[in-house]
Formats: sequence, structure tokens, C-alpha cells
Amino acid sequence: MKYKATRTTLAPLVVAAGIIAMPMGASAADEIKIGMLSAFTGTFASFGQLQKEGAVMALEEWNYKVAGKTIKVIYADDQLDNELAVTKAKQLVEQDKVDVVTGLVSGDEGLSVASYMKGKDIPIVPMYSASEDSTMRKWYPFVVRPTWTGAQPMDVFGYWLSKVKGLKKIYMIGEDYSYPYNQAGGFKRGFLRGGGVEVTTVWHPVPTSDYSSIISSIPLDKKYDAVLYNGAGSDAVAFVKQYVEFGMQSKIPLLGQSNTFEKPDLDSMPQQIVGAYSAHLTADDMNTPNWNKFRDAFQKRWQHSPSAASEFAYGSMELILRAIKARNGDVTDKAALAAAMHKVDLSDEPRGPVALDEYNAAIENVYIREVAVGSDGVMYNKGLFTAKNVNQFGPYDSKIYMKQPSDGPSSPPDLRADMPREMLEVAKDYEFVPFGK
Amino acid sequence: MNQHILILVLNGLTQGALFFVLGSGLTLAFGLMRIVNMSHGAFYLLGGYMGLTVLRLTGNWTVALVAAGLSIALLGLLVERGLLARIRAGGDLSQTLLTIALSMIIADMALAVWGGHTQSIRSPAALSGPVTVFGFTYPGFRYVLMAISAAIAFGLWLLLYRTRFGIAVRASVDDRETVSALGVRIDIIYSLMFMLSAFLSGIAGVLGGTYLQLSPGEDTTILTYSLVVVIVGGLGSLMGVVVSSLILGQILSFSLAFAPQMSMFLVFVPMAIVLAVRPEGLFGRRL
Repeated sequence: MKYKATRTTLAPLVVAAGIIAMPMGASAADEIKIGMLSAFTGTFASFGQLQKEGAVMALEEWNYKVAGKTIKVIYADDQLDNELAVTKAKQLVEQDKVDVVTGLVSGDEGLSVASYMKGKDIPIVPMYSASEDSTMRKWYPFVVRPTWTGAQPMDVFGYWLSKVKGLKKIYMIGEDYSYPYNQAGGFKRGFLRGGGVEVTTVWHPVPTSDYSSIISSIPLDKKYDAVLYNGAGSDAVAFVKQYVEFGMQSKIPLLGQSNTFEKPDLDSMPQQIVGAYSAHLTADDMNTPNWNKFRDAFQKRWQHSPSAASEFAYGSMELILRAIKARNGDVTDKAALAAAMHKVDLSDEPRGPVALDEYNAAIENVYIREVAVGSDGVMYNKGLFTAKNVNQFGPYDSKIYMKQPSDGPSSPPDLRADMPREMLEVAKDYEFVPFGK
Repeated sequence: MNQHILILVLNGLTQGALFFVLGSGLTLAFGLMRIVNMSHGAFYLLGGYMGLTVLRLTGNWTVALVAAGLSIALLGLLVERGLLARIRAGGDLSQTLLTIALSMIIADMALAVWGGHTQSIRSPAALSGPVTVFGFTYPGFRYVLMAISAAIAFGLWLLLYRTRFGIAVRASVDDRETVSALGVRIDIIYSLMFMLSAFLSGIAGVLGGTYLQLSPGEDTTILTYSLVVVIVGGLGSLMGVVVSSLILGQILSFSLAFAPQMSMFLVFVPMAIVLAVRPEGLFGRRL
């Protein structure tokens, strides 16, 4: 605690030092500045790093040049601290005078920065931050998110588990902040709509390192069909490891949220979890020309395989660069730049074709996956089924969807009986196509 | 139900055992040198990573544990001799600020060397399996952790209360001027104590990295817990750390079981109460 306070008091000094050290204005006319704000250190450092690798790859493919202009990227590290994120965003906007803000890895961070950026009239392209309200209830036309919302893959996942796999009751343990709320919200809607009865939710602070007491308190006598761990990164590695150590895996199956079993965290998990299901917008065994081209180039550049975070960053940066090209390098009219972003063709996106809806949110394929072991003995997420062209509202009408309260720790409700009727019946639900078809 | 409570108590003991190894080093260095080493968490993380690397090279967990402890002790010596001793005249505040700067540098270097993704140290096969006692099964490594922690507690007690070095240390805590007037090289005592403190944090890094995990950010989390343990127990008191780490471990375990959303809050409640009622901590002495 003391530590944190000291850090905060140091911040103005650091900012002051930054102002003094500011270089005299570069040749601004030939330069376009992109501010990339993310968590490059701290708890989410690995996601921040994966993101940077994807973005850098896109920039290198363009050779940092678009329509005769040089692209300059200013990286800012917010350490996943929301206040620091806003401070850094302010610095990017007021001192560095960036033309676009991108990056953003986590839910709360994205919401805070988007709310600060409102009225600044600078396009903001969140790469991995998935809290749906940025492109929904709190949307404004400068927000362009060609990636995802937390609910988007989870609505599909929940529906598949109850409708196709016949599960009825889920015990969910999740990290206590906005992104897992949104993932839980999507999951509950899908699961209860597909015939599920109950999703019990338990929230824990971030980060928690010892989950043994949460795990040993899972009520085995209450006949839950599965446990869903709604957390990611170091929390997920610790949780999954202890879940297996306490012998739970043999008593009740484990499911994950979209990021739980993501690589490279999956490499630190025990192999007992093979067979665990999750849903995301990528799968490790995708085999399409666009994906293979991306994966091979990524592997060559960074010596490891890409994850969803790197692919999202690659696609987001690609969208920014293509929009600048469409504007012929003219970024003075920011509204026109945002409008150009909306029109960019992303049908060749490596993870599958992407289109943007009226809120600049992605319409895309969702993949149901299971943890499998490859011939090399290494675990990966194997694609099982695809739900095509899923938008951020899932199968719901956007007006009915947005009428519901934002997802939180206890909304939507845990029980099917408490769910509003209009959220249980839709005109047309998902179809599941075998993966790769 | 009773089995459930028993598991929760054991979980609390496991957490408490780790907190003790961390907190004892921090509090002993403070008691003697009057500085709160804010890089204690970074030492922990670095110790864990050193253990990880040594384990990969040698395949032997015990060697990794000792190597991590010794390498962080060496780092502690360098920090104490090379940095802290030079600015001792500047007072407690500049020394504490220095350790904050050091913690950031170490955390960033660890990120550059070991990367940002989560890793964990594989526990020795012989110790990692579940152990069944009286028909009750619990992960074996957690018993090992408790045993190591108890051994460290006993060892520290022996060192402080049964050796000449311990007498010198305790005397220095009370009155450093008189002790140095008596011909005791107090600067050597400082260095040895800071090394011991660093050694314990390095060991804790391997223990924590084995039953929990290692990742960037873990340094600040663990530092927060260590500070709570030390403040509740009373800065400088070994007995205080024993009691407060046991209490804190149980609070964490039971709150995560029955009110997980409240667990962080519940950890800080005892600290707030102690600070309000007995600012010097449960076993601390007024400064």
C-alpha cells in the first residue's frame, strides 16, 4: 500500500522530467503519430508484449510508411493501472499530439481511456480491451474496435454447452472486474437461452495467488455439471494448477473463459486439463491461407507462435494503416479518418473475415475449442466448431440487448427463472459448423 | 463439512508459512537497520526466477532452492555495501526510496530476461503428489512448505537467541552507538543481516514459485502482503511475524472460501485496527 502511494507521488515528477526532455518539434507534416498505450509491465505484461509484437509486425510490413508519410509509434506503459492509463493517454494527446490512440489490453483500462478520450475527437482503436460498452452503451463515433467484446464468444460458448452438450448447471469462479463480468454476461445469456438452468458466480480479487480455499469450497454435492474458471494470465495458471493438484479435475470437469487456456499460459499448465473447452476468435490449429501466411511470418519474426492478442493487434494496426492510406495520408480531419476506418475492408483478416457493425464493432467467426496435445507433446487449443458472422449483440436485437443493464457481478441473473423473457427467445440462433468448414 | 474446514485451515497454514519466510527477513532487517526494504518483493520474484533457471539446468529442486537463496543473498550484500551503506548519512527516507527504485529496476530486468508470461517451478516429484493421512488427502508439497517454514523459524530463533551474533544483533537494535563503542563492527552486522533477509526472500521466491506461480506483478502483490504481516506483527519483531502470518493466512483462506469478493478488504481490516489501537503492532515496541 505504502509502495503504491509513493509511486503515485512520483508520477508528477516523472511527467515534469518528460516535459523538459521533450524534443523540439519534428517535421510534423510528413509524420503521422500513433500512440500505443498498453500494459507492457505488471500483471498483464505478457498480453502487452504479445500485442506489441503483432502491431510491430504490421508496421514492418508497411515499412513504417503510408502514402508517403512516416508512421511514428509512441509506446506508453500504463502497468494496467487505470489512473496511470488516463495520465498516459493525456500525455499522448496533449504533449505528443498523436493522431490515433491504440493498444489497450484490459476491460477497465479500455473503459477509462475511452471515457477520457471522449470529446478529444481523436480516433481510438482498442486492440484487446473487450468491455462491450465501449462499442455499445458508451460508444461514440471515434471508437473503432475491429476485435471483440467479452460477451461475443461467450454467448456462443454458453449456448453450445447447454443446447448441444446438454449441461444444466455451471459453477463459475471469476476475476472481479469488468472484462470477466462481460464474459460471464455473455455466457449466462447463451447458456440459459440454450436450456441451462443455473450459472452460479463467485468473484475473487485480482490478483489472487492461492486459490486452494476457493477450489476446496466448490460444492460437489450440489450436482454442478462443470466449473468454469473466468480468469486469465497468471491467475489462470495458478488456478488451473491448483485445481489439478487438489484432484478436482477427476471430480468435475473444468471449462475456461476465452483467455484462460491461451498460449503461452497454456504451456505452464498441467496436461490433466486436456479436453477442457473454451471459445475464442482464434484457434491454434486454424488452417486457412490468410492464417497460415500470418502465422508463418509471425513465427519467423518472433520465434514463437501467435496468440489471439497478437493477431488482434496485427489486425487493428492494419486497419489504422489502411484507413490512413484511404485518406491518402491526410489525418488532419479526424472524423474523416474514423469514418475511413469504418470502411476498411478486413475480409482478409488472418483469423477469418471481419466486418464492422454500425457501432464500429467486429462481426466475425467464433470458434469453440478444446485443449488437445499435439504430436510434439505440447498442448494447444484445437478448433471443434465455428459459429459464423457473430456480432456483438449475438442473436439478439440490438435495442432489446442495450435495454438490459450493463453486465456486472450479479447481472444478468444467475437463474434461468430470473432472466427476462425477451432474453430467452430469439428469432434465429447460432448454427455450428464443424471447424474448418 | 469438517473436512472442508480442515482443508481451509491447512490452506491458511500454507499461506501463513510463505508469509512467515517473507516477513521474517523484512522485519529483521528493519529492526536492525530501520529501513523498510521496498525491493523485498522484487528479491522474491528474482529468487523465484533464479530457482527456475537453476532447476532447468540441474533438474534438482533442492539445489535450485539453495542457489536462489544464495544468489539473492549475494545481491543483498552488493546492495547493502554498494548502495545503502553509501547513503546511510542521508537517513531512512533516502534509503527506502533507493529500495523502491531498485525494485522497479529489478522487476523490469526480470521482465526482459524471463519474459512476461506466467511460469512456475515444478515441485520435486517425490514431494508433489497428494499425501493421504487418516483418509484425508492434501497436496504433499504444501506439507513440505510448512515444514521448511517451521525449520526457518526455529533456525532464526537459535541464531538470534543462542549465538554471539544474535546477542550483538539484539544489542544493536537497542543501542547501536553503545554496541559500536564496545568494539562490535556494526557495519558487518548490517551487511550480514541484510544478506540473511535477502536470502530468505530468495528462498521464499522458490517456495512461492513452486506452489503458486511466477509472473511480472507478483513482486508488488507479495510485497503488499509482507508489509501487512510486518506492520500487524510489529516492525522488528520475529514473534510478531509468526503470529501475524498465521492470522493473515487463516483470514485469507477463510475469506476466499466464504466471501471471496471481500478477501482483500478483510486482509486490511486487521491492519487498520492494529494501526488504530496499537500503532507499534502486536509485538512491536514503541520507537
